[in-house]
Amino acid sequence: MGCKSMPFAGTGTGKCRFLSIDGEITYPNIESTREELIKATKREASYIVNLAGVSACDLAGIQLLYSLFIQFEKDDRDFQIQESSPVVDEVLQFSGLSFPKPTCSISETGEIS
Amino acid sequence: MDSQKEAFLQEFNELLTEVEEAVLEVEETMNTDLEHEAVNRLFRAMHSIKGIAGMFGYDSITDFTHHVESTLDLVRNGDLNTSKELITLVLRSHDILTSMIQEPPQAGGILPKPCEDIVAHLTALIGRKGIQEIAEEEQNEEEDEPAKEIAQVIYSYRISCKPKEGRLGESSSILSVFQQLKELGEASFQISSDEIPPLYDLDPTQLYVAWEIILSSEATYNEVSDLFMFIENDCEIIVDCIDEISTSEDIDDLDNDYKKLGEILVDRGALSKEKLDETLSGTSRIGDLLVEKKLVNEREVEAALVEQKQIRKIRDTKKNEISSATIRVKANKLDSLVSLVGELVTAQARLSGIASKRNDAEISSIAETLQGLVNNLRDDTMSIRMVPIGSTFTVFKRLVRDLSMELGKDINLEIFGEETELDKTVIERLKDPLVHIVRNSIDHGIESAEERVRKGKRSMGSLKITAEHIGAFVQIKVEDDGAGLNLDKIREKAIERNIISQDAQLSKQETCQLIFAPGFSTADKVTDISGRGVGMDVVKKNIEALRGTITVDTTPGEGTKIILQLPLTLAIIDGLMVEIADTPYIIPLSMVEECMDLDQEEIENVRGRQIINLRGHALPFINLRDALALKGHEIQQEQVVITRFNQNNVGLVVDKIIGGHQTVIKSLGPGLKNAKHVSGATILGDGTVALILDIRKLVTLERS
Repeated sequence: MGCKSMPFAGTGTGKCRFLSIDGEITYPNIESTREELIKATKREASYIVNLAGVSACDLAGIQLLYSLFIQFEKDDRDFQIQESSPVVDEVLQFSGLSFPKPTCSISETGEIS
Repeated sequence: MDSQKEAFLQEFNELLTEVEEAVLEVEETMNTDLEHEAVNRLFRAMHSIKGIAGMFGYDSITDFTHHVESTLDLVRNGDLNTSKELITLVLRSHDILTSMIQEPPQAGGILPKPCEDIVAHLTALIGRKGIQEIAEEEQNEEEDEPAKEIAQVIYSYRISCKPKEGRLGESSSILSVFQQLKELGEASFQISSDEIPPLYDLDPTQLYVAWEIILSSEATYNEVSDLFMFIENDCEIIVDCIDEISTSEDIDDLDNDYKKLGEILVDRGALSKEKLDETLSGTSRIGDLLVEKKLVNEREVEAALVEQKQIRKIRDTKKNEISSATIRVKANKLDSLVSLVGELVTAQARLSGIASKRNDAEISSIAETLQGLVNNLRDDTMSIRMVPIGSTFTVFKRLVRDLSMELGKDINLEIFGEETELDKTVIERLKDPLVHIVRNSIDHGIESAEERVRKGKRSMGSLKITAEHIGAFVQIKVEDDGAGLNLDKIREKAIERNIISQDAQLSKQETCQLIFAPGFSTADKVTDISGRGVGMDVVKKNIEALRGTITVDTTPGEGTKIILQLPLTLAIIDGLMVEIADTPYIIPLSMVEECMDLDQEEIENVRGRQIINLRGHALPFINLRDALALKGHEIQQEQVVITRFNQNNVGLVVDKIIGGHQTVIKSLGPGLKNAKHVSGATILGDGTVALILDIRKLVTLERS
């Protein structure tokens, strides 16, 4: 699994970052994934999350992603899911879970509304 | 009889048939993989009998069936094995119930003597457990157990799934179970995710969620519970059956709406009854009120609403299915409909006739459209009256079983073509003749096991009943592998009884047909089952009354085949209208092979009989003008209708072939009751009457 956080290439406030998550988010590597996510999201910023690269996901993985969004909410950090992945959607469907609603809308220029 | 009682008796009798079929199926499938399902089917039928008898005050039936049902439950649960003895006892119970329902309802308490005997036998069969004890256990289980395995029922379950101590080891198994649940029926998932902590506080190896699932499915309680077998070490699973709808349920019962939101919350334990009552005294929406008062949280209300919505939806769907799938209609209403369609066919024929005479394109067009519609209406109406013959065949399973036991013969009954459809009236009138044929086959045809072994045959006799459509007829064959007919003995007896003369020259087929002569029997001994010589002549008369034929084919030592050929319907047929001496007649189209002009040069004289040389084959023919003794002016160019009768072709010479005609069959009045050549009459479009020729009788009379 890998996750990468980088400044959003827009003309916004600079407080918006791009978070790309890919690979397998499953029980065997769930602890290391959590560490990586914490590292990747440590900056105080709003996040545009892209899950398109997630190739495998299970209940542990979906719970982890959910807790990430809860963390954002707790920290009053805005987030938006830019793109999901079929495997993530499938687990969401079977588990009955749905991610918290995005707290903002981030424009192409990085403007948060 | 009031309509409710009538409906009850109808349903009761249907259930009795179901019991009989099921118990014979249990016997057939004994010690196979299919046995369990057959036992379940039998149990369900007996259970339903118990239920409806109780509703109509037949307490003694309820008490008695409860004992039988309890025994069957033991079999169902594997605590008692099926056996011939048990099968016989259940069949006897069926017979007793058949007679009990003829009597007025009786209060429970003391069972009639025959019932007591059965109960005593069942108790002895069970042995280790007293039947009363089992009955009581059963009663208790019924009170405790939320989900009962009853046929054709949609159950709704509330399933709670909570990981034990947050274990996340087999998370993929949980999802797999959920997937299987969705395959069982309609499932709504409510997840409780409130406990999932933010990322920094999360122990990712722990599972913080719990689920509540509402499943609506035909699956039984055990089937649903079994799905959780592999995750029950990791999760706390509670399965509750919260609703069930039977397909046999009265629609009115489904009108009772599912529980109200407050009741569901009380049911789930989220709210006390007192708090609910207190809150209900207000005027706002109950969900909002309860949340506002912090008696329940929003998620709990949402979960209850999901449950309410799903079960209401399932109930509505089922209600629609029940109300639209089938409808019971009294048979006399169908008869009336057929009669009206018959009148319509006649009126339409009249319109077509007028349109044709007036040469009016507009009327002709309307007449043509109407003809198409009437044809469709006729076919649809006739199809409503068609029922599968299988219900009649069920009787034979029981008959063969009982007679085999009585006569000490081992007989295997095979039935084919149970789905073959025939007019309801034909089926009703066919039952008795068929029973007689089957009894004869078992009593006289199939030999005892010892005799069969001596003859080098399998000790088990075989009886095969087959039904199939052949053109506009249904053919039913009853075939045994017994001794076959003793043709010499038949001839001898026929001479002895003056049925034929000493020097009569008969073919094999003609000799076989002697068994249908009144009073004919070759049986050396008269039994309760057959051999009195009363029956086969009645069988033949009954079959002929249905405009059918009966033939026999036998091979001495190998067996006998009795073949019945019956028309699909008795009401409306496709006919071929012909004219003889300016009079119209109808020939059933199903018997017509082809039509041609009669070429006088093709008529030859062979051994004193005139035949037509039909493409090199001899075709015997009957000149209908002569046969019916009709006068009138001679026709220069006669025509021949070639009909098929008993595997032979016979030509019928007529003046003119008019064409196809939808023939509504009317019975003949008393004046024509003894007419030998006709089977009925029909009214033509112009109001005149045309007689329907009975080709079978005509040919037989001409031959004799």
